[in-house]
Amino acid sequence: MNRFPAWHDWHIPFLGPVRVLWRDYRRDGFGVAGLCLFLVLATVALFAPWLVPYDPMAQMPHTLLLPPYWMDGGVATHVLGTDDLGRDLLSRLMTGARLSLGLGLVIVLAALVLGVLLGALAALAKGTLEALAVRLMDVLLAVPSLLLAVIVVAVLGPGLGNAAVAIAAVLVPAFMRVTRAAIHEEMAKDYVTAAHLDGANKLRLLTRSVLPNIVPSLVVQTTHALSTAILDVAALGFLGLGAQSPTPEWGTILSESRAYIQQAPWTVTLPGLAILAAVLSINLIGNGLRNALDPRWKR
Amino acid sequence: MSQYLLRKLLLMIPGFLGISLLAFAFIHLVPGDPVSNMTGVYNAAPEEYSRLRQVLGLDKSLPEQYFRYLGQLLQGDFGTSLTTGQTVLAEFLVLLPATLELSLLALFLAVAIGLPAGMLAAVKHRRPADYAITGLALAGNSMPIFWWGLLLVGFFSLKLGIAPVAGRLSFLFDIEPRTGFMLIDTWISTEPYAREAFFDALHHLALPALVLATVPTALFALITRSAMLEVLSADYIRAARSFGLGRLRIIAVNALRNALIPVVAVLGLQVSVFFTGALLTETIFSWPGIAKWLLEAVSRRDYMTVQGGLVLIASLALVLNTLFDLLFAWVNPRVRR
Repeated sequence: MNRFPAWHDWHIPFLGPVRVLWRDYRRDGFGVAGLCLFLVLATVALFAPWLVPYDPMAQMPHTLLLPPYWMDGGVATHVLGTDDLGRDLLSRLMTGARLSLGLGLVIVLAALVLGVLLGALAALAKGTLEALAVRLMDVLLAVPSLLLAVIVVAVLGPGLGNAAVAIAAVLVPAFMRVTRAAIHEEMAKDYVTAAHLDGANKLRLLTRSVLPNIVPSLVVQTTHALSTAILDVAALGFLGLGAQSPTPEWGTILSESRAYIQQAPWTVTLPGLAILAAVLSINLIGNGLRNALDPRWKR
Repeated sequence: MSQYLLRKLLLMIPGFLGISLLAFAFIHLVPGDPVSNMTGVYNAAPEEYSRLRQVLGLDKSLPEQYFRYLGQLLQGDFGTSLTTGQTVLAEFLVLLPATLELSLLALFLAVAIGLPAGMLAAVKHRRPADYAITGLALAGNSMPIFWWGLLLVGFFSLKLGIAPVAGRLSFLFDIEPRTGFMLIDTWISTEPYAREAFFDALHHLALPALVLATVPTALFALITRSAMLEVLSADYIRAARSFGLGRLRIIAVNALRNALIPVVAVLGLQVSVFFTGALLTETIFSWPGIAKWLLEAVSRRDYMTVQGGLVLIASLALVLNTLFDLLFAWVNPRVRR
């Protein structure tokens, strides 16, 4: 069996890494579905201020607890109905998408930058410093992340901004671990040794040779962190430690409408569906990326 | 193995030191005056204030204060609650069984449903059953369980009326708490209604355990599926097949044992998943466990309880993590280095 390309195959066009990734990613139906869902949500989040039919904070005392338009008593002017203060639910959920996705991205970017920096330092460190960094990471990873976030919120006080800081801080150790492990793995490979023998110093080795090759591990970890961040922002909002009412954050909306679960079930089901859709879309993308990047699955 | 065991056990010491440092930093970073935060006494007279400062050792340097705190922890003194006056340890030990009972049942459900589902998906790779299970597992893995719990309560408790809304046991039953585990207490109880109480406790457990089990079940299914897929394409499985062994025998005996290794590997991570889940589940179902207790202490600004609770819960998580690491090393000799 001849597994090597024949001479005449040499003219096949060269595909860049992104094109190769897309070729492998496209085959996973779940991943493509997740990407579509994410693009829809991201568009809504990006253009929410211009798309919303009503001011998300505006209270309309004549339209309290209106059901969505497809239910009995619903009206087409409030497509998803209204809450107990007569606020338009669609407008609130669309503005909430902006908060959840936008804030989620900011949180994850902050954690990514800090985690990669500290992880790279931990990978380069030797002796006591390395042991110390590894132990610190292990302790922080062993402690339940939402417990740590609750503790940070207890120190900083409740609020959306403080919850975001807490969640970003809690996500850092995982990035550190992934970075350190990936750098260690790459450092042992021949191409790094070759670059080293060519006279590259440690910093150059790290930034030019190693970092581009640990991007796949970081991408997978980033999608995981993003879904965690969105879920934790909503969870803290639900527990009353994150965004405070009247902020239209999905978890906060959910905890406000908890009391109306029998009277107006749509005020509970719809915000939760929004959270589920956002987290699910990102997890599907992460799953698809992991399969596409993992050489074991390229069969 | 014994060397690995010793190393793992010794590595818990810096872990505990890290936790104690975290808790020590917490009480000094929290807003407000340390004296008020540690005693609950506000607006104390100047001489009383300086006396309290001295008693608490706040007039000493920070390193001295830390070593004093560490000494207290080593003697089993985790502080006293500012709201109930009981020691934090006593409150923790009373509430821990409720959380453990819920978590253990949820873990049992997650393994009992997740493992077979993942195996089935792998065996039926790229067929409708596989897509259905993978899709469900991916959705379950993304589930905001505080919403999921509300939906289940809304449907089973409020609409159908077949499940209790909250709590561990109906108020009709008076069961003496001996172990703190409601199922065991009602089982060993000698009251005439013990049998009814046992089923009532189980009835109360069903919905919260189902909610708490959702995410771990999905994770176990996904991990079992990918591990099983990898194992099924391994050479030794092909060899077993060429020997003429039955398909079921290969899956149940040769493949399952090897596919379980990655599942055991993630058990340690489940401690965090379960505690996060417990925080939300206990809040929804008014379940009197340690997660809800800590959350309430935060909202009451009972900082001594938060501090002690942080140390106790984080230490418990560290111990469980180490135990799962050891279990992993026991089933997978390759990691014992």
